Amino acid sequence: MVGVSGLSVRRFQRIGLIAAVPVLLTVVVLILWPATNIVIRYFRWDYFTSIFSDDRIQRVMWISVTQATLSTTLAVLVGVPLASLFAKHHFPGKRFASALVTVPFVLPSVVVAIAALSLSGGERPLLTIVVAHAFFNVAVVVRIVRPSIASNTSFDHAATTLGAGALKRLIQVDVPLARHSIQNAAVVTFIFCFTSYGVVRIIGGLSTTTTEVEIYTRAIQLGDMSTAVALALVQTLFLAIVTLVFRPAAEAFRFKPSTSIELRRLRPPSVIGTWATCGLFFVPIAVIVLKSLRSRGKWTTAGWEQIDLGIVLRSLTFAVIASALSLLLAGLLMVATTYAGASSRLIGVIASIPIAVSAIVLGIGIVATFNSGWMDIRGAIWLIPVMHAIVATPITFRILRASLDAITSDHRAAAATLGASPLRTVLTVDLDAVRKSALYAGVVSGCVSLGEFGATSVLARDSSRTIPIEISRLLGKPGDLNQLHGYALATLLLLMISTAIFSTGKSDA
Amino acid sequence: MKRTIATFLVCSGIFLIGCSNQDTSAPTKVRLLAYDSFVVSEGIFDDFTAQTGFEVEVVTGGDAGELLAKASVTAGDPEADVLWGIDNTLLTRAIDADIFASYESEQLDAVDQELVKLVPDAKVTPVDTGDVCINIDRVWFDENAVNPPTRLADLVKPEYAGLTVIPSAVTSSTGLAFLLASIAEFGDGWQEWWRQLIANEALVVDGWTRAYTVEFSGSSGAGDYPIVVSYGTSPPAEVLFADPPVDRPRTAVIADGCFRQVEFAGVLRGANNEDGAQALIDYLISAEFQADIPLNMFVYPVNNDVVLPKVFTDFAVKPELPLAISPSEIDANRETWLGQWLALVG
Repeated sequence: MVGVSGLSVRRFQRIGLIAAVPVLLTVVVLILWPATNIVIRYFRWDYFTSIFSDDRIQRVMWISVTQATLSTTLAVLVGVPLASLFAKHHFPGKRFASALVTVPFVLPSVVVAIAALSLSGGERPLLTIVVAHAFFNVAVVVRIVRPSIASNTSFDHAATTLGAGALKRLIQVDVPLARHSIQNAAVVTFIFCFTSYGVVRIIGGLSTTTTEVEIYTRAIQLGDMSTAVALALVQTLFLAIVTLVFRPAAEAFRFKPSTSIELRRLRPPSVIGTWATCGLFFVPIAVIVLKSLRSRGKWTTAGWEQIDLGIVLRSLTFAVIASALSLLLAGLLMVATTYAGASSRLIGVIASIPIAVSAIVLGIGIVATFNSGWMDIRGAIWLIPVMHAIVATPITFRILRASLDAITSDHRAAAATLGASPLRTVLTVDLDAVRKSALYAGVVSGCVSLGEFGATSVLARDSSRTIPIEISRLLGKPGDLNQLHGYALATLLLLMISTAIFSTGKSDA
Repeated sequence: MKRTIATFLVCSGIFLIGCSNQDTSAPTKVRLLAYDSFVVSEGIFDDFTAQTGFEVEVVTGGDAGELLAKASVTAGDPEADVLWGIDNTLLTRAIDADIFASYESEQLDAVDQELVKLVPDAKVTPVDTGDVCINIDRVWFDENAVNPPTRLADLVKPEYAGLTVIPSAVTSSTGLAFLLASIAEFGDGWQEWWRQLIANEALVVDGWTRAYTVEFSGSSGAGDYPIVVSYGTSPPAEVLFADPPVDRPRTAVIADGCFRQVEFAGVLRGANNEDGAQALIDYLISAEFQADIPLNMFVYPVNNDVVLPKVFTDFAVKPELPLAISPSEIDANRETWLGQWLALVG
């Protein structure tokens, strides 16, 4: 730690640990406790061991690992070059392209699954799942990797001067410099794909099914909670190991050269290439928009006329609350993982748990745990946005973290030399560094809340619904108007999200 | 600073105690927990509130299976006072999990007695029925000059090869009902029938939404399969929600080979407001409430005094003698049947 004395290190660590407390408390109380409660209640050793000898479950686990690995690989292969382009270049329509690749991440899975099915015609389920997952998660990769590349453009300039081509610079400069961010993005993408439920269930049908779908089948259709919790336990442990093993080394105070970001103009052929890639993201989106406007070969706005603004407003309110909460949690987490020293790795892993826990087991766990007296929070209106915030936090945190990694230890040392206390340093240097991406991270977490259909879908809520739940209900009914209405809501969701992301694009660039 | 924290903690403690005290006063609300697709007309509970003084709070939280799973782990400490939506395929599991408190409504005389007999110890009360039936795309059969199938056994014939789409019995309640229909129809021969059905290129998908709205040719999804497993009440919805409007649905129901789903509502054991819950059960089977059901949820009322809407009498099919298996037999064999079924189609 350059320029910071041993005494300060301990004080910095104390700030880190204090910041970790609220986050850990939230995760432990609202996620770990209810999930553990269900596991303890239904865990049977013989059920646990039997899942390792059951052929069907073996196959399901194998498919889970395969599809998550392939999906993550594809998302990284598409996402990293895009992140590099966005980080280093100017081109016409860049803000729009950037919004376009981000939007899929927050679409309800039933909508993405049906759009993907319409395009693939139901053939090759595994491939369709992998492409649909990559479509979802390229946004994650771009968002997390882009700031790291943007902060290191001086190496890129040097490489250009030395005559390195674009591909060579991508592989030999960007990838090594951004490897921590890439690893980070890959881990969170892997978790999302591994625990994916809606996309896999709808596209995969009977043949291509994964652990989360199997957990649902056991717990709900068969009433076999013991096998369900055994599977959920294996899934979470496996993902925790993946997170621990592949989590990048602590990057705090890593030396980085100061650079000024200087964007270069992209040459016309590359512009066309970039647009063609981003254009691919438009295809499934166009399918959804079309489905909201066409019925029986005719154009119609009837679906749009059905939209109830009350539901939209309610969803937006939830999104704003969830976004504020998630930013708070992610900010604290960021401070904690930067300064808490030896514990920061563990803190990071615990904070990732919310997305690695089986949604169905968690939902049942919450209902079963908070069930009496003053602790009975079931049906409480605030529980929904709070759960949305917790689910969004791992991704909000990674977006903030990516910008924090871009600041240099010189700044902290300078602050210390000028006599700033550790707390003051954290507040001025660190928080200032993430201010710009905080707006963006806030929008993304709000969007996660708008699209969330996991753990909260089994929590009791009053009958005025949120958008994703309403979409799923409408698509589950016969009749043209119900379908049109469902897709109109999905399109509206798309519009709201892309507007939000587009309008934050400026400060983000 | 420490004093501030202490004051805060004491205040929150008082606040929390205040909250819990409220629970002990006579409840004025009765909470109805239902599946996500539960829809009723605005203000339908106003008369109930006027008569009993109880306000109804409707909460939803998942599908029927999820509701049962949650109710099972909270038996005696329920999320709500009344649970709506357990059907005959889940009834025995619900009763075994001891989630309901018996209540025999005095209004039961108006309800179809065949349905009442399904329930042991008046643990729950029947509230609606629906039939899982084969639907066909009439237009496709006209255009291709093929005679539509008339019974389950027809589906394995060569002329219907590659025409049928079915929701999975493992992940869909509609699919489970269809599997039960085949077991009731063919008895020990059901596995052989399914083997032939799969050999006849029937498509099995995860659930109703994909089967009907994506793969079925008669719906707005305009898929490739003119035969689908859906409900006896799907055609009325195709008329009511048509765009552009139509006089008669493009789809029709095959009346032979339907499996009847009966849905129940019950007072949850340990309910906060047991009086309100019992009064609400009475209201749920009253003619007033039952008349609201068909056009909102596309199922049949159980109250014999209700006059059905015209679109139902015109286009829906309610078979006289649907296929049936008793709730206890379903529960005893579900896992075995599903395992055998998966081995055949998986």
